[in-house]
Amino acid sequence: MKSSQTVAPGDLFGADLARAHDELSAPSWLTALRRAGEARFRASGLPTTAQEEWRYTSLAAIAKGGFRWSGGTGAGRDLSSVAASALPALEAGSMRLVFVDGAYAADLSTLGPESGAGVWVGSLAAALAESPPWLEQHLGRYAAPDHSALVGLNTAFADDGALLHLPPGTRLSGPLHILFVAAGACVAAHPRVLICAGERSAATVVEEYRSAAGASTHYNNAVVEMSLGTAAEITHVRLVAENEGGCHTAMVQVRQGADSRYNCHQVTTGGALVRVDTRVELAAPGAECVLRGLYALRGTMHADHHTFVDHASPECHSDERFKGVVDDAAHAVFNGRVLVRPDAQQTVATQQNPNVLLSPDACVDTKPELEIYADDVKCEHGATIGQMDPLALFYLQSRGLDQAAARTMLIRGFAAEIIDGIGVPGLGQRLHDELFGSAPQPSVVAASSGMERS
Amino acid sequence: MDSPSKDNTRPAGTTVAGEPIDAVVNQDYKYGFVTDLAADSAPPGLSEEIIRFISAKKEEPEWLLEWRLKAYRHWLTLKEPTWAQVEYPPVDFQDICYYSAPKKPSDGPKSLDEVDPELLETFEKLGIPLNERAALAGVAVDAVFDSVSVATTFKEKLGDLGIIFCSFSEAVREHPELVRKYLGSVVPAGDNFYAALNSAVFSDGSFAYVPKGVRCPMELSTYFRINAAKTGQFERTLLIADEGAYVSYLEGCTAPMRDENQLHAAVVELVALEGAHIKYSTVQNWYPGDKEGRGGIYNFVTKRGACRGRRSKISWTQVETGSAITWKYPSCLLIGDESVGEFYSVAMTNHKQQADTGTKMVHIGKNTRSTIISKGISAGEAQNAYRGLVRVQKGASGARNYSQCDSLLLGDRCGAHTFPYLEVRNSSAVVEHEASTSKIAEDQLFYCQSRGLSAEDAVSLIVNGFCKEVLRELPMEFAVEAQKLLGVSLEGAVG
Repeated sequence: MKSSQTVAPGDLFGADLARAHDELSAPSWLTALRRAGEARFRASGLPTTAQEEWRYTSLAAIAKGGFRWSGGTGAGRDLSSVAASALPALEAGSMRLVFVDGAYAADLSTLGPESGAGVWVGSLAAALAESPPWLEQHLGRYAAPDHSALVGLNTAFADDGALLHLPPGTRLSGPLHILFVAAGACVAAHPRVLICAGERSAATVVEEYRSAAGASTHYNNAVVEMSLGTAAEITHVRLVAENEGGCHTAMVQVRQGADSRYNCHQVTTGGALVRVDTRVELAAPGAECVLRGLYALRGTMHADHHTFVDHASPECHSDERFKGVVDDAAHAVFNGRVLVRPDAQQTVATQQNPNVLLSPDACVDTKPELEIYADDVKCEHGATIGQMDPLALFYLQSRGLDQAAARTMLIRGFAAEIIDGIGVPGLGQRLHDELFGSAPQPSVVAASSGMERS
Repeated sequence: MDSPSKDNTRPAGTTVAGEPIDAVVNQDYKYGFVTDLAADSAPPGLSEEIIRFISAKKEEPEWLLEWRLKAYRHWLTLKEPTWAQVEYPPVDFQDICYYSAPKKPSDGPKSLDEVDPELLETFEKLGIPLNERAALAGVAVDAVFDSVSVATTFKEKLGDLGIIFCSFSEAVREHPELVRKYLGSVVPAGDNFYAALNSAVFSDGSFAYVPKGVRCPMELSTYFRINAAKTGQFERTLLIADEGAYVSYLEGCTAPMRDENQLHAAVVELVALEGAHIKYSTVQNWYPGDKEGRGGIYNFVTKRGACRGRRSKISWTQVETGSAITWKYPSCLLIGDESVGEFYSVAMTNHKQQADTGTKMVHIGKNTRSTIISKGISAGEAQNAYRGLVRVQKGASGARNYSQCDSLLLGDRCGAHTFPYLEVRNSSAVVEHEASTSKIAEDQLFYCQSRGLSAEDAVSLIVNGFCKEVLRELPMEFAVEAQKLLGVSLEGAVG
């Protein structure tokens, strides 16, 4: 994947950027943000494999994909292909915000009683109409438009997205489900999520990316911004399960206040090309973050997870565990960076990245990094790449399971640590079913030819 | 445009990158680069003329000159690497003198009385034998003990076994077929910025060839070095172990080396054929600069070994305590099936030293194995980075790697960093990497002190324990000195 790309910077998405420039209306502060984002993207274009951060992931598929922006919220959309009943759901009655090709679909969404009781849940387009004071304060502040080319690109089109604002002391009773559905052909969407959690507030948010039945290729370039106030607690589940034509890039930028807790669970099971950057800044003492991830890749999928935990303050804890199951000719990339800044004493940081390769053509590139400038710290990381334990396989077969079932059972066990830890009722079971089939007999992973290897 | 000689001295297309043609031309004119074979040293600066001068001085054959020139022309197209976790003012490559004849004994101090007392004190701490101290301090060697006779004795013994061990220049003269066959075969002339620079201007170095089935009876070492002691700043080492041969090579020494050259860009190439085993140990203690970070050596080294044959093995062991900047990645290309690569490293940085060091293990053959043990110690305001690559190629089935990188921090202003790259293209590979970073536990220190050790001795004890896995890989006499060296290097690190 180390081929160099031949994309002239600035040309890509040029027509769409010009259109967004002309068509999108907004308060002046947002227009200024968009302009800055546009300038940032035009300056450098898509990142290339010549950049260290992108050495294992080529975005040529996006450059060549011919993806077009589908227009702002005002643009008419055909939602007939998206049936509410076919959309994945959490427990009955939970709040759900649905976006189709980046635009809020009110008909498909359900808003709970919380909105209105000080808690603000809804779409960015609706918020802009109301223009609450916190919006300008927070939007584009954590993932600034000049942060990177892709964040710039997203910001240039910032028009709709999901918002959650929790005043101090409030908590959501149930999980908030934010569902991004790709329905059109060759559509580029730029979803945006902003979560502002005030002091001692708490919420669980499930952010999910899906392709509608019959959707062809598409591109999602997401930006998620989050700010956690003192002692706030956010559980963030991020599921990427797009179809084999889906390209997905995302920047998750989190800033944590004192004694706050951020639990992140990322599960990537679908998409042709997936790149997720998760950056957590532990900005005040006592903050704690737990990052969990699972990527289960098949076919020719390419998934790249970059995490960056920035220990900017003393007495913070971070605990990271990303697991990978790589089958067929899939390619998994993991890059975990932990930075302990000077004077961030009493830091405890752990990071692990175990990978299982299931097929001769599967490959993994992993790079766990530690960068430490303080001495009173405990930091460790580990990465492993290996296969399923033949002894364990043999044992299961000796107990009467056929080889495929034995393999699935082992993979299921490997993945269960992450899936079962999510803690959103019903979601873990749904993921298990999607990955391994609902019956004890395996289907999805075992169906691949790579399993028949001796 | 005023120099009549400009067109004659410089073939087209060889101007230094980024420099205006006029400046280069004037420089040529200014120094009047006339090939003067009688001169002892060349004027500072780098050009084809200087390379021709070096080559002529060393009476090299035409093919080697061509090889140097090719490297130089490639070097001009390269940019200085900036990816390492080190910071230093830019090096002016035109301000370096690329050739100077070995110093005459009369230039050095006449006896130990003239040597810097601080240096002598360090020798005392390291326990260096009396007769060697003078040699290390640069006192004319023959005034102390007869190195020539020692060297001759060893050379005869090695010669009986068919082992060739000589200076690189001598090897070019005496064994051109071997040099030509292997030179640049592991580290190509244009491999990287510093390797290309070295290939263009290398001064001298060591050459060793161990024939089939021979086990070298002694450690080839710089202590009893046969070639000239001052091999200069662009050293080139080439070691070849033929089928079934074994050789252990020691480089450097524990004594602090005072050296006026700021930039060192060495290249080491190892070739292990079927069943051969090369053990390469380095203790590097170049001048690290003073406590404020002034002076000190820049050590930019390219070391690589190729396990060409089946069941061959290359083992790197290094103890790096010196140099202001260390940029060094001894690597193994595991080409032969069942070949083995090992890397054991202790990198110790104090005051304002910076080290970016590690290894590359490239698994190409089947059932190849590699082990990486790296221990980094940072004190004062030093920065210490491990940077390593483990790459398992598509065809390398059954590859196995284990890496462990631990860092110890002494002081709250130093840094320790780990950048491992694991690239696996074969599903039967098993690759494991683990790293940890912490400081010395207070309770360990307290315990040692309660048993009567001073704080400094306690730290030294704990650090030595931390490094034990690596130190025990060193040959016996080196290991003892390396332990003491760690203690000495830590001086001033403990408040």
